[in-house]
Amino acid sequence: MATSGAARVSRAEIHVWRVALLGAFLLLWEVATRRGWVDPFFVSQPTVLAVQIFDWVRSGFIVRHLVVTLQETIIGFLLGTLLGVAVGFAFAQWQTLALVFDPLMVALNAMPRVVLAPLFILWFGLGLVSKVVMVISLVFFVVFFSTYTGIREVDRDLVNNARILGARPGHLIRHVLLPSALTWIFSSLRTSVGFALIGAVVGEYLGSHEGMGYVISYAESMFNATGVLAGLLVLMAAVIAIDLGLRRLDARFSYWKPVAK
Amino acid sequence: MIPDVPTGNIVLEHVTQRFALPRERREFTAVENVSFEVAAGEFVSIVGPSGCGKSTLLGLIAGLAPITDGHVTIDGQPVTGVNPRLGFVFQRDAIFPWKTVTQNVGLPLLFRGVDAAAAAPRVADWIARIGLTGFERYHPHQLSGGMRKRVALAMTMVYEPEIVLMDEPFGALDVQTRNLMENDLLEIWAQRRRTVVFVTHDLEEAIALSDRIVVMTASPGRVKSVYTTGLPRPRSVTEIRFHPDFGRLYETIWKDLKDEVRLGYERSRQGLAG
Repeated sequence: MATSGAARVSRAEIHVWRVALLGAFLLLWEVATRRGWVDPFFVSQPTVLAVQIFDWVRSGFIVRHLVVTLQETIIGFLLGTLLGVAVGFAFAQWQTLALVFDPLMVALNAMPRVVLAPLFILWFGLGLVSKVVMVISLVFFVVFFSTYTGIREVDRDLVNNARILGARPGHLIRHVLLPSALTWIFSSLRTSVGFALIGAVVGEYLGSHEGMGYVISYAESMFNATGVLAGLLVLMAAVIAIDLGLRRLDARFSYWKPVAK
Repeated sequence: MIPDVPTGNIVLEHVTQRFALPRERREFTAVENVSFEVAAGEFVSIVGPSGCGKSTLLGLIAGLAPITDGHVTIDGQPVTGVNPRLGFVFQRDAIFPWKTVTQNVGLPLLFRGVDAAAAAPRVADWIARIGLTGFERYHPHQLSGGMRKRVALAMTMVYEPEIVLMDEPFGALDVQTRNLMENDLLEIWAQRRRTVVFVTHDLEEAIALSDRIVVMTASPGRVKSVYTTGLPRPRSVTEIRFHPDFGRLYETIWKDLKDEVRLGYERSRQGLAG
């Protein structure tokens, strides 16, 4: 909130540097492929990529696939978060539950989900459901662990104070535990959203007939480097847009913290 | 509630509290065989070396932890759980960082089901009394340490508990702010005499504020002696220090306390006092 004048100047400088470096990189790429230093068959070409993406957007082709991917991401993310918060709360409330299931949680979390994707496709088909399950399996654990820690790390004095001030269990959850856990959940939100998108794309990549993962996988099977790279660039743009949105949201929800990170 | 006849009489009988130290496979006795009484409307301080179980005693009176042995009764009723007639001001300010000053002060009323329309003027009145008018919409991190402490005090006083327990509430404040707050506390207390049990390691503070002083031994905490100050009221904490009896009291009680302080210090250096 309180940005000093000096910091603002350097921020502008940083922007200049970023744009300049990106420009130099694209220029080098373009020149290298045009001069024949590198074969564009393998690495494509910035101008060709730009034309490809432009065509995709104009024909509506990419929008359709992006919407599919984002749909899977959002549904899976919401369900995974809900589940993670609920189970996190339950574990924090009932110690026995936590003690019994702790090894299982750790083991499940350590399992590489990418390897499970073929199984999910086998069980839930090539459509939306298998991708959503994949996303849930990734998002759930991130949210679960941060909720669980968030509630366990609640200031004991705050809980005691609330009890003395007359809080019933419902009050305690709403006015003390949830706000305290929210900061942990939000700090893990950017990680879990990234995971959600990865889950959706990997699921599509391994078996699907639509979505960004499918676009990339299809281009790859045609040895079309331009298609693969253009697909990745579109994904990258989506990730950056989502991340910017989340930063705004995070700032809104941590208004009570001294200085935003 | 009849304001003229204060209730809130506290009796501790042979109170012992032990904690298990599983890692060291032994028990730690925080307080042992403590008995004393606090009359309704009385201001009593508990002094003693750090680690002598002063805070443990407050927690037991508040019903925050089950008691190992002995009895605590309030107006004849045994303490079995958290008591809503009681207020507690914590050592660290336990106010809610995600709530504004108004929301913090109003929270106990919300918990107690007082409707918003009835709560608002009471909250506003207390915010004015602690001198934070104009800061209603601030969050705790925007306030100074003294201001946060005043919010904690208002939060406790707004629901008019019959008993107020205070655990070194002003320990973290600078001397000037501290004296101001002590005077504020005495003024609030004088308006409607609630029972106050005040834990401190500062003997001067204890004498300046209290009717009686309970001196505790080094760990495990036992009652070593009890003194009646007999200083006149109303008092100003800054001026009462010049009263002829103040120095005498200080000397007498300090003689009692200093051995315990030394003992407590030595034990804490050996890591025994926990």
